[in-house]
Amino acid sequence: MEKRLFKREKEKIRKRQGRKSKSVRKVQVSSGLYIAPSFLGVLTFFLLPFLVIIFYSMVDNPISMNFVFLDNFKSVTQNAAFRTAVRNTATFSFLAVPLAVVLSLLLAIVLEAKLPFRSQFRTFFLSPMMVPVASIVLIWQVLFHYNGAVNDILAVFGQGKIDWMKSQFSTVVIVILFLWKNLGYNMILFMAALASIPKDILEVAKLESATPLQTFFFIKLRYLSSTILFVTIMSLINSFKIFREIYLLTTDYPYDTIYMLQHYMNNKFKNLDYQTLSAAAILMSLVMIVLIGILFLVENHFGKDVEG
Amino acid sequence: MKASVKKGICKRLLAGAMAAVTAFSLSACGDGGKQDKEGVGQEVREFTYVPEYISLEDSENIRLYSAKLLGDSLYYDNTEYDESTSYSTRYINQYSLTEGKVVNSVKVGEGEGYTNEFQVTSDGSIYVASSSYTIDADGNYTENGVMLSAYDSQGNVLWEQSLADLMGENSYINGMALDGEKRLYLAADQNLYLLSAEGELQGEVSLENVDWISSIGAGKDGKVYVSYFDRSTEEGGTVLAEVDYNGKKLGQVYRNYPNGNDKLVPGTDHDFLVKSSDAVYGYDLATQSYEELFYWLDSDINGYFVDNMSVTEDGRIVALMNDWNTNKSEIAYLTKTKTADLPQKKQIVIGTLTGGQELLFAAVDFNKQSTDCHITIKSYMDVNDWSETSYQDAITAMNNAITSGNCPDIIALNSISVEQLANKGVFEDLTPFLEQSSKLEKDDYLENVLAACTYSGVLVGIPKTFSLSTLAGKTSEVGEEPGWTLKEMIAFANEHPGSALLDYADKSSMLSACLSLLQDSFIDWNAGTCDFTSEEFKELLEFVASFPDEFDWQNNEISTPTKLQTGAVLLNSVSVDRVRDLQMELAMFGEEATLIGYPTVDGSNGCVMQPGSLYAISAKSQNKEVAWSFIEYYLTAESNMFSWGLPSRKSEIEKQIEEDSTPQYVTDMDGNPVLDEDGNPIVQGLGGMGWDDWEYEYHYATEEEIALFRMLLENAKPLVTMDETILGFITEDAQPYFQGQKSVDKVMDEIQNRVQLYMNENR
Repeated sequence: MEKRLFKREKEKIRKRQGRKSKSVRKVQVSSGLYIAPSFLGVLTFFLLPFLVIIFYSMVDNPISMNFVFLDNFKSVTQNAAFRTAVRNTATFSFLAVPLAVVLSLLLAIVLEAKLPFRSQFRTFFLSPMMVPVASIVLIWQVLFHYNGAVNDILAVFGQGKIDWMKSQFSTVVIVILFLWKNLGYNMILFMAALASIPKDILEVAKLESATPLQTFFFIKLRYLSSTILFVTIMSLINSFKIFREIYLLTTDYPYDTIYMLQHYMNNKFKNLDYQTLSAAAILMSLVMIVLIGILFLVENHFGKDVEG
Repeated sequence: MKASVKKGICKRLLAGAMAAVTAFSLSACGDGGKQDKEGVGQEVREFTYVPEYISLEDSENIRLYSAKLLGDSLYYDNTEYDESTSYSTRYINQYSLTEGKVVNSVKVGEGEGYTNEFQVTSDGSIYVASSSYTIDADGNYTENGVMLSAYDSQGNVLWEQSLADLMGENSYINGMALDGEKRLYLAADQNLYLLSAEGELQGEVSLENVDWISSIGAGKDGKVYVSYFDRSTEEGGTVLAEVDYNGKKLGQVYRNYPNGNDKLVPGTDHDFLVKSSDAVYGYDLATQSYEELFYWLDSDINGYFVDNMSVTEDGRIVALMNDWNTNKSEIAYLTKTKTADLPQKKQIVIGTLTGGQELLFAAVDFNKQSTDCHITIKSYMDVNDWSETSYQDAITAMNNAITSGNCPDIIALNSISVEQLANKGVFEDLTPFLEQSSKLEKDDYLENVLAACTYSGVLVGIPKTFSLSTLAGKTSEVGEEPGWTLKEMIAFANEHPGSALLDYADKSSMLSACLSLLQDSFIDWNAGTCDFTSEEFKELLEFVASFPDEFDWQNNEISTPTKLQTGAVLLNSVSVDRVRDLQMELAMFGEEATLIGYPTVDGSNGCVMQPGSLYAISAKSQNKEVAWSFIEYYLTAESNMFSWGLPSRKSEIEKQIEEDSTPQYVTDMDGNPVLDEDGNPIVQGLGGMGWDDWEYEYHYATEEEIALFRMLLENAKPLVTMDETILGFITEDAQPYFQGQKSVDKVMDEIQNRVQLYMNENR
């Protein structure tokens, strides 16, 4: 009797589980159907083109399509223009991104304090985001042209003209342009992150006689770690987009110190050189994956004991 | 049902609807009815307009341009000249297409004059605008203004009105239309005159921001419309405007009207039909859009020969055509037919940036004589696109087609980067085709001409013609031996301060000219290096800086020959299309001249050659043999289309030399030579060229001239100019130096930097 009861109980449980797994399966199928259009879109516009790029990177040209395996990668890495572009892009990113992160964090901390005209300052730093790229480029041309405003000011002080966009100073100009454009957005992100740090921990630190610097480095920075990661990644991505402004300022072939990876790839596209373009794009994406992976690891290490 | 369950169902329905919308928005659109058949780059249209031809008797005297087709009758204006009385009489003839002859002739004017325009109504009434003039005893010509007349079908004058007071004596009517109430509309330049059915002026409309009224005509709604190029807006473009007769003004303006014929042709399915030399479009007023109906080539018709167009009541399109070469006129009735119902032919597509008359002529002739294949021309340039980027867009579209699976079978190589595409293996090597051809001989082609069309060992095209150009100077100044270096040319120019090196020269043209053939002085593509910091380049920039920014066209009254003879200009740019061209170019100096040539790296003869139109076969084409048959036809057919340049074949050049050197004599009507007073046959003149202050008469070529011509042919080098991108860098970066803003050393460094970067990128 007990055995039968147990068996019956088991059957009931099994049936209930079966029903449950059926309903779970139903939910899974319907969820899959709902996300299918998005998935198809990602497949069509991101994954498949990436596979096509891999294919193009392994053929000699898009007309004859003879398989050459890694020859394109070899020719790209040996190309002097590519190496120049990589060097310039890396220099710019390693210069501009840390500056963007640090300066925007400092601005956020300053604006967090109860200063007069705080909101006006905030608006001032945010306004470059609203200005169209073409207008920004126009402003920069007026300022840094050989006969522009900056050289006129220098002339007042007895200095000779500097060819800002066709000399070693071009990197400085571009970094200033990048910072001017991106500080505001990063600053807002940091201000939001600073506002979300639990006040009780800061009060405890204050009570424990922690100095502002100690509070900042040991508490605030830990809580800001995920935001710093996010801002760094966004700044890194935006540092690649600086090509747009450089292109509008100087067209296809600028002075060699501001010749970026995108210049190389854009020109290759125009010359129908899809194979080296694809190889360069794959190399760049591999580097980006490694960099972002490192950033995630760093964030995991420093932010692991942060609540929430 | 529980509220929570209902809510869940609603959520799912909403999510499902949004997912469906997303899915449908990802689906692609169709291609508008074009069907792709086998092979690469082939386009077959769903409908073809099949022509049925009607020849016209005595067609040399029929002026189809202004002819009107009404039912079975063709009305055209004709002038008969009586040689005995030196008197001309003008008629409007009615030609019956059924009977094949003129069935009625209405006299509409006599004496000195011509018919501007005329219109015919369905009852046979004729309205004519004609101009007359008088020539007095001293030969002075005076216009008498425009006369407007109306006649009935029997030729009786209904009324006459002189428009001389209204329009002035030197005016000309370039368009006439009648509306549904037989009211007259006359177009003259930018002005519209509105008259009653009795010819009385009712009003005048003057169009602003318009050069002239392109066309005027009645639509199928009975209203009259005009078309013109609108300069009042930034984008410009041709527009159509309704004429408001009662308001004496223009009514609604319809934009996006395609470029094309200067006649407004009302359609049946569309409001108007517009013809260009390539295609026929249907334009709709309601949507202000046009649709491409068909290409003339698909109907084996040369669009350039179509003078006029009309539509029958049953919807057939009527093309009135005049062959310029034979002067034969005919009419084609085009019936819309499903392509699938017609005998199928292999389609060969020729891809070209801008098309052109020569290609179209060859394609039409080829199609007419071919039974199993048909040529279509795909032009990547949109002639109705007036934007600044239209040319670049066309190049991009063509490149995309070549690199994608939509490559045409034959590619016209004009204005595209041939070397770039050749390096990618886009073109088929024509050498085997040429060697196996039964109509062409490889040895009959000049070696240097074929070499100019060969890239990395692949013969990409065979030119029908090519051009030769060089520089000439006085022998007393440049010496007898041809050839010099850039340094020597600069030194020569510096020895003659106050004289211009070349006529019409400015900084830009001198920079291009100096850099022609001199690429190797500054650029070594094999080593991947360049040297724009050398003394030689510095000298070049300093030399070019001495030229004006722009040539002063306003004060250019003295002719080039006079400038050369007085030494105001030192060198002459010589283009040679045949032997006799050399005569005039050298005679301009007034003394012995040397063909010194463009400066070269090693000081050798700097005569350059440039191939004419080239057609290459795509390496991806599925129909290479058929494509070659068209190229072979193009190269061998006696084209009636005038081609510039020298023929590429030695046999043709020898024929030309023979023609230019063998005297022709004046003959009488029986073919006998006419003798002069000394009993010698009179040599036929060859004509000449002239300026206000100098003229030249050609003579039959001498042995020395023929020898000089042959020397040029043998020594001509392919024109391999400096890479356009590099030339652009030099031109752009040198400007601040030319404008005095930067030093020559600074701009040299900038040029060096950019060119080296470009070379590194493209190695």
